[in-house]
Amino acid sequence: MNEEIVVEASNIAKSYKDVTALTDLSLQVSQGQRCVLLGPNGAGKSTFLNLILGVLKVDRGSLSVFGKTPGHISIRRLTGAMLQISGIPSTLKVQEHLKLFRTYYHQPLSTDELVRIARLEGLERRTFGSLSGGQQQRLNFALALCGNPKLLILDEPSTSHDVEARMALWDEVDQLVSTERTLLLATHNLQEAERLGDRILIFHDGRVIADASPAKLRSMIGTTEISAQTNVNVDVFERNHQVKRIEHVNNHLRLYVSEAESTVRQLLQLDPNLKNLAVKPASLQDAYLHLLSPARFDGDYRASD
Amino acid sequence: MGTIAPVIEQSSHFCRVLLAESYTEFLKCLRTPAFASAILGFPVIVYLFCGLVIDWGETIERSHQFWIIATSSIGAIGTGMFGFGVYVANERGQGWLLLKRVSPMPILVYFLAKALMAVAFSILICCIILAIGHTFVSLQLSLVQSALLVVVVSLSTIPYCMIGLLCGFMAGPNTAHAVVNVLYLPLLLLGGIIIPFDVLPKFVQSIALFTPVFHSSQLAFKLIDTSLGYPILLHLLVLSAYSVVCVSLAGFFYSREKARTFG
Repeated sequence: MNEEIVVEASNIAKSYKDVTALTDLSLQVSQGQRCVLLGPNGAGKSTFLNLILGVLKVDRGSLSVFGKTPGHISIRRLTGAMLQISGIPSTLKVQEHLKLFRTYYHQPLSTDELVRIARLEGLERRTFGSLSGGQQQRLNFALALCGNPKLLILDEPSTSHDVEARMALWDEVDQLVSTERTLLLATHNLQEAERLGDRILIFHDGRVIADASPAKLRSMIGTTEISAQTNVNVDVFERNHQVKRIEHVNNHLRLYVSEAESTVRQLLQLDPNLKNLAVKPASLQDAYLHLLSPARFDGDYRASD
Repeated sequence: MGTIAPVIEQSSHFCRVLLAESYTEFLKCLRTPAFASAILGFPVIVYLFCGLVIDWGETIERSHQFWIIATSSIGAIGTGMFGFGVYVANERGQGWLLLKRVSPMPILVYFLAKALMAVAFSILICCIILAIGHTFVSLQLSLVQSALLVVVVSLSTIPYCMIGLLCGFMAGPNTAHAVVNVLYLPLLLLGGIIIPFDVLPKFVQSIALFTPVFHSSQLAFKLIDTSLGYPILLHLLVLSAYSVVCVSLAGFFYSREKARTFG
């Protein structure tokens, strides 16, 4: 299958005066991929998105989007961006905003379709200023979709959404991003990342420290989490090759293991009186915290194989 | 023929976007109470008060004509500096300009639409003042003079847009309004439109000669033969120079800022 490369970064670097935002980043994003950018504030996610959008320029390396320099008019026509902005003009109505943005494109989606996708029914005649935070985000989402984009860039799209609206937004994004459309999503919401991403990029200090599917990331710290309240000596688990990671704070023990049954048996033998024993699959959050843990960078505990 | 078609298509698309952007811009400002009341209201109120209520004790006709021209000029200065410059600065700070930049809208359209909106508001203010003058006093400006005043006022809005733009990009989104406020009143006082030029002290007069307000108001005063007699070309050159210098500096500050902050 001949997959089109949508984004190609080769050793790109970006600094703001003395602050390094991105260092030697190289990656490719293919058509149809759903890439989620995770990482703490200041890790380089927004800088990367702004470089792709052509708002910023790389200091070193090369970056292309749809084979062209970012910011080119032909790329802007293929890209829809939902940015974290605080000020969409408040005195304009929803339908006026949509009408205006549709004029920017040669073949825009119809207003009815935009209203349906972004669930703005009944709000068309309301001014932006009279909408709730979540409704404002939905209009922002609709503006990103006006040009029926091939590359959809969403920067924390579900901020201000209630649970129901967030689920609905995820469903819409899920349906929109097909084999033809590519998604780049920056978020701090790991549930959102797991729901929408098929490729997770974890940024830290201007570098991508992990680039894998959610399932692969979860497997990096073991597949199962065992937790219990116990005073057992954890040294014994250091010798258990199925234990990938150990956390023991006060009485609370957490083990990430590749095979749970034998470790549970071992734990019960060591402390038959343990309390609150629980066994559950490791989450993306566990993997994320594991990867960003300072201990990992010190090389101080048993990480992935 | 094959090479002309895409150019025609691009031009017509540009015009469609410009029309839509300008219309939306006008609606947006008209619905903003702070804009409508301050920018539209201030020159009209000054005209009602100074032009109609106060008897200046001089030739009453000259007094009416002076205040019609002076307050129309105040309208042009206000819409240019506040309506254009401060609004661009605010929208830049709030990320709206960034969203426009990543959309396929030509960025020139954004600034052109705002300039057209400012010109439209200047014309509106001028027409309101003329209408009041026609209604409440036997107006001393002929139809041709009135029409020429509208033209002069609309053209003289442009340098103030550029000055406002420079303030907006030089001072940053949060302080642009304060900077324009600081400049606005001295410009009005120095330019000879709130206090007539010949009443100003000599040293102030020599400063006034270098202000854009002096030159734009002198162009307007030529309509009633009360200008100081400088050539029209000089006024046009000074106003053009202000526009070019301000837009160039604004472009410099914009490109410097956009590389690192709010877009």
